[in-house]
Amino acid sequence: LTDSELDQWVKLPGTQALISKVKSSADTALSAIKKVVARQPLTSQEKRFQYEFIYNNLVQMQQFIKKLDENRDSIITVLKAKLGQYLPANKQATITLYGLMGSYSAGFAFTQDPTAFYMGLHFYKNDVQGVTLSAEHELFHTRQTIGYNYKPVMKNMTAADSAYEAPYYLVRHLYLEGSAQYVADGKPYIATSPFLKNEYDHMAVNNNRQEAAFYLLEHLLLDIYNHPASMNFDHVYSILFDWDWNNPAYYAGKEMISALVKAFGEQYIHQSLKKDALFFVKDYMTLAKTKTGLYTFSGEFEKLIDKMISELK
Amino acid sequence: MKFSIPGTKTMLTAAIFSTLIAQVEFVLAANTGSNPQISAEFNHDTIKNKASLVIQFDLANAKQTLSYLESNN
Repeated sequence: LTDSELDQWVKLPGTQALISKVKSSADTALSAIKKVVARQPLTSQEKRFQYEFIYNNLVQMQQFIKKLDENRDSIITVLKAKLGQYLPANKQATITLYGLMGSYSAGFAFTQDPTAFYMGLHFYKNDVQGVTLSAEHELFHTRQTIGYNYKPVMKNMTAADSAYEAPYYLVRHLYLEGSAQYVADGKPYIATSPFLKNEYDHMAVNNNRQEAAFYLLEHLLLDIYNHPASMNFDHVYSILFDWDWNNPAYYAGKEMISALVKAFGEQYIHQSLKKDALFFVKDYMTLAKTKTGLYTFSGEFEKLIDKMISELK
Repeated sequence: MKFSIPGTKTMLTAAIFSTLIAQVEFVLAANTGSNPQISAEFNHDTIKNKASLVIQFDLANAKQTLSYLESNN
């Protein structure tokens, strides 16, 4: 590619998103890719693009992109079949899934544009099924964003009591991730998708500590509500939602939505898309009182959820 | 980033939005394996209702990045 072609490459929406994701610049992206082929040492900023890893695995990456390209129509058909059912009949939506080579993230989106989602394909190691299901999970998030605008609600709630802000945000994410996990369930594919099997195996530890995962969730939320001044939000978010901690809130959220769907049918997913996530937690708490085997949240936690619900306009 | 300063509602809001809400991210471990085919069980009634949903799969960045790396390999 010539310098002018590289300039065009930098201007691609996918490249621009990648640059934003790694909090860098077009100049750094260009210097990173040029240095990699020149086998020159990279700065820490340039390493964020991960071009070195891609360059060292070039043949496999090319084969994978070729395969994804060949399967493009099938992937889109699968995604439309799964996600279209959650779209209101009179609603039109165009969503673009950008396949990237670069960055340290396997998938990301920017909330200012719910119509786009980005995937770092170099993470997926030749697993088309892994890409498809991961895209399904992330594209369901775009559907959730379209369905309910929680930001003004959060603003009102925070105005009423600033201590609500962090727990409300985490309840919202509990619902977002739990229901996306339910809709894009990787379990049926673990026999054929090494990527999804790896994901499933990593989270499976939660099955053996179900009650502890819920207890952790409940008591972290109560703690940050009761002691907002001393919380470390990054730590709390990481413990509940990060891969390094086996994603306990993904697990708990999926268990909760699974119980609700089992009790009320698949339409619960559709209904929940239009409602505040607080009702998802409230519905689960009500259900758990009538069913055995479901974690029962404490009275103190229920009181917190009820107080936040009372702030909804 | 820590949120340990009392009464910093605005800071908390800004920090949450800038570091978390701004990006919905999932980080997944890399793995190796076979080349599974996509398996899809289509509900044809569902597909009929999909006309309003358009999904595009843009591979331009991936292709051009690899093209550059290959041309200089």
